[in-house]
Amino acid sequence: MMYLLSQILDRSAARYPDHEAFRCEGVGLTYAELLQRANGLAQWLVGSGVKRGDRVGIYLNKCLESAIAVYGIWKAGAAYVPLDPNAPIERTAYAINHCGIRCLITQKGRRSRIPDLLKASPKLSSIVGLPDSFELNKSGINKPLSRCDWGELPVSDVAPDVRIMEQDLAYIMYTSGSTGTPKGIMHTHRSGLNYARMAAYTYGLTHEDRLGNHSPLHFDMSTLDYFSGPLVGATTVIIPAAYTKLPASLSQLVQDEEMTIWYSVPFALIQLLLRGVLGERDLSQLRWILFGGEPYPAKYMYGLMEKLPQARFSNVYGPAEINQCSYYHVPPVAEGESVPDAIAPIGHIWANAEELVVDSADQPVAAGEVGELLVRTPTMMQGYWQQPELNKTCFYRTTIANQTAVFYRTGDLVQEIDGQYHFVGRKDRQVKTRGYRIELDEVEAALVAHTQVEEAAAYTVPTHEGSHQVAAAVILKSDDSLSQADLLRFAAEKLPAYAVPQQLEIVTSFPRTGTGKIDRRALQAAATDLSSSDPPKRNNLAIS
Amino acid sequence: MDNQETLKKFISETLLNGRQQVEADDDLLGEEIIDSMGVMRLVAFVEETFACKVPQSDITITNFRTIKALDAYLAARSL
Repeated sequence: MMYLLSQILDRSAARYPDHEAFRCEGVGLTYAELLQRANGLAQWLVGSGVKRGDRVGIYLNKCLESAIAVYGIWKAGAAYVPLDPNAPIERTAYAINHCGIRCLITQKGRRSRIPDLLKASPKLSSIVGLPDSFELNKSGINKPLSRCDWGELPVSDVAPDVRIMEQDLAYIMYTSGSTGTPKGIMHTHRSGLNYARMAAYTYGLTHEDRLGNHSPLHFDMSTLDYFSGPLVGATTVIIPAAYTKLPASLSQLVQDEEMTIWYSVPFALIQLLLRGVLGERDLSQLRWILFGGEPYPAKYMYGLMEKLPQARFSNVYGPAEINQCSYYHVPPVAEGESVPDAIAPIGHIWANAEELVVDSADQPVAAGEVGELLVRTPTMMQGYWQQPELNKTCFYRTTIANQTAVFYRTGDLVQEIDGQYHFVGRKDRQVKTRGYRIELDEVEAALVAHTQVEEAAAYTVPTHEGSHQVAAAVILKSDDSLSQADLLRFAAEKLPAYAVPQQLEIVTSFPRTGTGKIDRRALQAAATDLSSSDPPKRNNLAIS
Repeated sequence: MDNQETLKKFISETLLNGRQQVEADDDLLGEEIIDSMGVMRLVAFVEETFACKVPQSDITITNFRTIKALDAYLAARSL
């Protein structure tokens, strides 16, 4: 019986040893090879002191090594923590220190940042992917470090003898937190495996499928590509970051790699439609276009459906805390019918999950009324790493069939119309930009952290391509010489690039509501669409 | 200023807001230099500065990976 995520690899390696499990930049790794390399990495990790329940950081660009890292860490009995390879050092070190990562897995592309990370993370004591020839003394780092380069790792048919259970932690994903620091979402082998199975079942994945892995590992959408694909013995094609920025090259890759399953944020699909020269490509092998993370504007969704008539489109819904809990398969537009202009609903709750839609007093709302969606599902997280207060408030406990039932409060406001749930908005100030979750409170905290900033207000500006960009206004303590550029550079040291305001204004006062609070809606209303011309021109930006 | 210098200056000063100085051989598309919005701004800059239209099918890894590659692409166009 399979009860651990690591067993996915054992089973597929037994069934499809010579089938490619992962591919990246034209190089493949079969299931048999992946198993041997994951076992070898696990042997090294255990040998260097990694124990059951430890957290091991993955600090990699998109590459084949990420697959070895994920499965190798599990085989060592530890949980993987995917770190954004482009985040500021301070933010990465926060996650490393917060969940007590002692071992980090990296490779050539990220090495230059290791000295700074080591300085900021005193407990880091072993590193995979760092050869002895890489000198640390010059950077003033003299502490003993256990290290090994990828080529020196053993290759083994045997995994270390570590006993783990399905309730053991499998991974922690850090996401934006409203208190100004990121929070770590903890998933167990049980919640991860339940998700892998439900997704593979919902989309009918088979070993003949080829999944395009668009999302980076630290983004929760990657779990479909890393868990569900291998579960059925499929091939996951890891798409390097460069392709995700160039739609014409990306569509070429989708064609050349004969991808059958696509899963990404709508932003990537909009780019493919507008700039992917689809008329020159044959993408007839694509059978599922899965999208999620934020609403997909109808005109772009139906526009792409017209270009890919053989593919089925499905809206995937679920915050990272619960993986996925609902789906909506978009019906094709029948001939002669007009194209709908409404955003696709989030659809049906999965058969093995249950939901409540409640008002602010946790009372169920009447059918068809707007309320917060609470979900109880076997794909739900265990909680946030070391956040006892948050773990008390993020769940709702009740009794169902004489048993305690725990629901996750999604913070999403929904409305049921004709048996489908529709996303209406957020209860709090969380926003999405290109699928990334951003807590506006965190952006404000990063700006206010500057000694010369008195007050900051962050808000979003919609773009004409259906997403949002972050903007902010600040009041300075004195009429000092702090420039917008200096403040943006300061914010960029604390926030991931997608959360750094695209537009920053230095003002002398804010519009206020009757109670004296900053009127962010007024700020938002006064702001201009940053991408109102296509492509956006330099002079649209207030950044100097 | 030659084309490479013009591109270097725009990318370093405008796209990167002075955070980093890029060189002709740096991988612009790797992980952290330019994001997808940045690519669009770079294309707009190239079209305006070099008075040319860059078709979508030319915005590829081959032509945009480095400043050198972009310079070679622009040179090939003007032949």
